[in-house]
Amino acid sequence: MALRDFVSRTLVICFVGLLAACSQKAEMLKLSATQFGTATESAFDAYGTAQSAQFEPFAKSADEKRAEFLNNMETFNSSVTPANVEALVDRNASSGTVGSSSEWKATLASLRQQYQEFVAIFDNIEGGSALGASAVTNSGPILEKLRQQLASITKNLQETPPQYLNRRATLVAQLNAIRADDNDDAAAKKLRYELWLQSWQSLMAAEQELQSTTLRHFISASTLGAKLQTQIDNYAKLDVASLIKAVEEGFTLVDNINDLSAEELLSHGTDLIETATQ
Amino acid sequence: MSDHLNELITEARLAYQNAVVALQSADINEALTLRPKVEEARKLVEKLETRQLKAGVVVTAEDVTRMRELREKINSAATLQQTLTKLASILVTFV
Repeated sequence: MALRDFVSRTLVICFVGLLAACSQKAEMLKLSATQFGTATESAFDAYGTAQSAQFEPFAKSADEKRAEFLNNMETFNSSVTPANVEALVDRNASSGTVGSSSEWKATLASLRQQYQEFVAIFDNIEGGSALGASAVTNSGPILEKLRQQLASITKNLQETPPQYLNRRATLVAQLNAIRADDNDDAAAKKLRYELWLQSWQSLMAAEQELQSTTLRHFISASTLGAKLQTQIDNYAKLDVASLIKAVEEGFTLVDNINDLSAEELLSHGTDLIETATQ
Repeated sequence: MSDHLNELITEARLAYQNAVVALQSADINEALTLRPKVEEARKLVEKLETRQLKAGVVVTAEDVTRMRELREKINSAATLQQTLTKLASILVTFV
């Protein structure tokens, strides 16, 4: 009788111990999934910002707005109506050139939601770590598809990077205006050209920064996605220590990506595209 | 397809910039007539960029349903596991 009690008690304790070990392992997997989720959120935020920045005009000071309005009023030869008054105050703002289309926004929101749904799979994984382990394995093929989508966007960002289209055009119009202005003498014209060049170079630098920031976010998300894929595909074989190491490596990888130059980012992105689409 | 779409995006972006240059260079009377053209050019860029974004989507509605099912499965497992743990605690006390 005493032996039976001992065996029963040992079995129950082993069962509880097993659940505790599984739970720790699951906690680590959840952390990796959360890392991936946070990285994809940041990537989609950056993408949304970059896309709408393409159509944003230069900010104008109050004095510039006032001067433009007074100039417009001097030359306007028709009637002011509710439909054209905004254009008379600021021709850029009234032309509807700010913000992204609802279809683009809806597509991005739908994509974002897919990644949120994926991360939500693991919301309660520490509680169902032992009996829900098969669900972890089954999430692997979906993650592959999600990674493939990130790779596709990374490719788009490399092939057709976002540009400050409206601001580029504004500077082109300004350069044409300088060239056409007959009131300047040679020295004044030269000075205006030099100032224009500074503005152009400044815009190009800002554009490069916009492109690199967006690409960096997608490379971080793709890298963390690849790491998570390895953890999910090998979940049954991995122990708690390996999963803790994987989470730590995730942080290090993102730090390393933040240190990459624009050229290195492009090369790193190409490698990730190849890995995700294999 | 992807290369062709990229070319179209590049062309549409140039067309938009040309429209903005014209708008910025014109006097206000002409600018008012150019506004719809700028808007049209912007819409084309966005339409093509949306097409590019959609072309990379491979996760289906079924996949989203599957993700919800997996979440539900884990939640059910958690409930069952919690019950079993409670039962084990009771057994340890009474066995």
